[in-house]
Amino acid sequence: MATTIIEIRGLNKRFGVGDAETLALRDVNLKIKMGEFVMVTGPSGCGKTTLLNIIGLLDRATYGEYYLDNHPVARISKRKQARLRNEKIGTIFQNFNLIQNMTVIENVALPLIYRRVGKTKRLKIASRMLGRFQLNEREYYLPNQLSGGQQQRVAIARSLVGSPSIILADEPTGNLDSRASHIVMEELREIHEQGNTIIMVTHNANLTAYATRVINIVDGRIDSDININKHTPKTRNRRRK
Amino acid sequence: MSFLLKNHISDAIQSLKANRSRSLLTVIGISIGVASIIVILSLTGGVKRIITNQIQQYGEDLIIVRPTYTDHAKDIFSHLTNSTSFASSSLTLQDITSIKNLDDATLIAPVAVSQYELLGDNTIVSSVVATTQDFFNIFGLTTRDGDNLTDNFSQNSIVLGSRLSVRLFDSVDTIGKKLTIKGESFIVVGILSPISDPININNINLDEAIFMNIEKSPIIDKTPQIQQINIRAKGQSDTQTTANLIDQTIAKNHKNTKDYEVLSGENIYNPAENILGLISTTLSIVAGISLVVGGIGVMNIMLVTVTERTREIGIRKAVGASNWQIMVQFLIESLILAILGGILGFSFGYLGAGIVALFTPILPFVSLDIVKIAFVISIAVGVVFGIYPAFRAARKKPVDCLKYYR
Repeated sequence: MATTIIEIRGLNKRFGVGDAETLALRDVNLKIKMGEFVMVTGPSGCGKTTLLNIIGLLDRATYGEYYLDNHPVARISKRKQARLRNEKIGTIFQNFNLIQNMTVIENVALPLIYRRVGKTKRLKIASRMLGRFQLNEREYYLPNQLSGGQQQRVAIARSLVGSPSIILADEPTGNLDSRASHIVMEELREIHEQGNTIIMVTHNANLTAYATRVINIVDGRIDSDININKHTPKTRNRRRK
Repeated sequence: MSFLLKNHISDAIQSLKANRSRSLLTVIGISIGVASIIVILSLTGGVKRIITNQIQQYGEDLIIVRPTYTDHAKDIFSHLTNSTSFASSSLTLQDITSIKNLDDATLIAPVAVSQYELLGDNTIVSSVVATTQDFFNIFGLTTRDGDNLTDNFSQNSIVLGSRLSVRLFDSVDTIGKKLTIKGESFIVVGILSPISDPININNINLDEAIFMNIEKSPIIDKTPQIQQINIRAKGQSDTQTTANLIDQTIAKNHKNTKDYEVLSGENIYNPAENILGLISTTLSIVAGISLVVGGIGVMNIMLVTVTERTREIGIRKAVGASNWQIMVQFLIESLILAILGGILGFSFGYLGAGIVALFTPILPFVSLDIVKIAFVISIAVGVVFGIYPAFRAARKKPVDCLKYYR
């Protein structure tokens, strides 16, 4: 049986104060097991990106529990958060978020800097990773010399370079045409098949075909949680009030 | 730490290169402040070296006795304003006789300077130095034609400074010429070789002075205002011992009233060095203001940089950079700006001091201490003015940074 990698209990996120106060997430409970490919869907502003940011330790919940690899991380120090982001989480963004004045290979190697991997070793690992995405010829290009699809594949390579426990993708195909989207999704599927856990936020219903589990969020609450893939054993819908 | 440091440095260089003109202007801003401090310090160093050289030139066995008029705190300013020249001196010819009786002091030259009208071919008002023959020996002064001054230096004979000779008689060769001072007639027995020393001995411009015998000259009264006694110590005992001995001797004459001071070695130049220290400190503070302006330039540019690179900060944080690492990254960038400014400023300052030296007799002197000061100042500017922008960068929330659009 697959181990639980993420467990969230009673998670709330509030933005603003007073009249401007909004609850982006209300009492979210969620368990994600290793090897799942979870798609989080829902209308704009429903809180799916906020949920992903909290899971990715880029943001903090207002209150609630969050266990990553069975360790409580909801209230750990910023320094430890940074370390976990580096070691356990790979993040892919809608707008790729590559550093523009760094070459492709340097971008991919970036997470390894904060792991104190020496330059030669770092570039070697990054190069191997780029090879996986057929981007070896573009290693010393700058990001803006690449197409959107290529940039997103570079970003995926960067998210994988530190062999994280989970990969978070926030609308990874949002800025891509259908052809590039298809390529990127195929890459993600392949990564998933290699055993990685992926949590992806999208509002493109067509992409849910790639998922093993689809969570729909409406107004900050989990509206539905459907396990699609028959191969993943016993992924029960655990909703708590 | 050193591993990340290397990365931060190369990142910083890359980022500074990306904004060449902006970085250069900031560096120039700092360099102006550093340069002005270097100019001041190196020129002060040059002046100090002249003083040290003079101590060596006149030997460390020179002892000077001066009357004291004011307490020490006001001493610096009394030297600046020359107000002491209006007060009456406590030193007497009796003191000189007493010192002469000591075995350890061989050469004794009291100095009493007063202004007189000199009637030669031209009429000039100038300083008349009443002293003894020993004055020339103590300071190693020679005549133009190399005559021995001491033999002829008596009742009605005078010695002229080289420039004064020209001013009085329109000639450098004036030996045997007659001169009237206060109705008395004097004969020129010697003319000093031109002296080109930036520091005047006993505050007298020797080229413009006229010398007569303090004991025998008919126009010097019997209790002259002795402004200073120069003594060259000789014998086996060291200068300090002789100085102490002289101190005791004069104390006896003055009935233990401490209205004089006995100085030897580098103490002689202490007042000058004090004034110098005061001036250079004041100037350095003024120069420090320009350094602050330069530092604010660094802060300004770093704040712009941090804002411009908000997204990069977000990305770095997302892939695992801690607040501390972000802070160090930006701090190193401002440090590099400041250190480059320091290096450039040092070069500018050295060059500037060299240009000043073209118009003054002061040779700029850059000691290792000055190099260290410049280095420390630049690092301090980099840290002080870089810490706030770096802190701002570090404090940003990753999720906000990633939302940021330019």
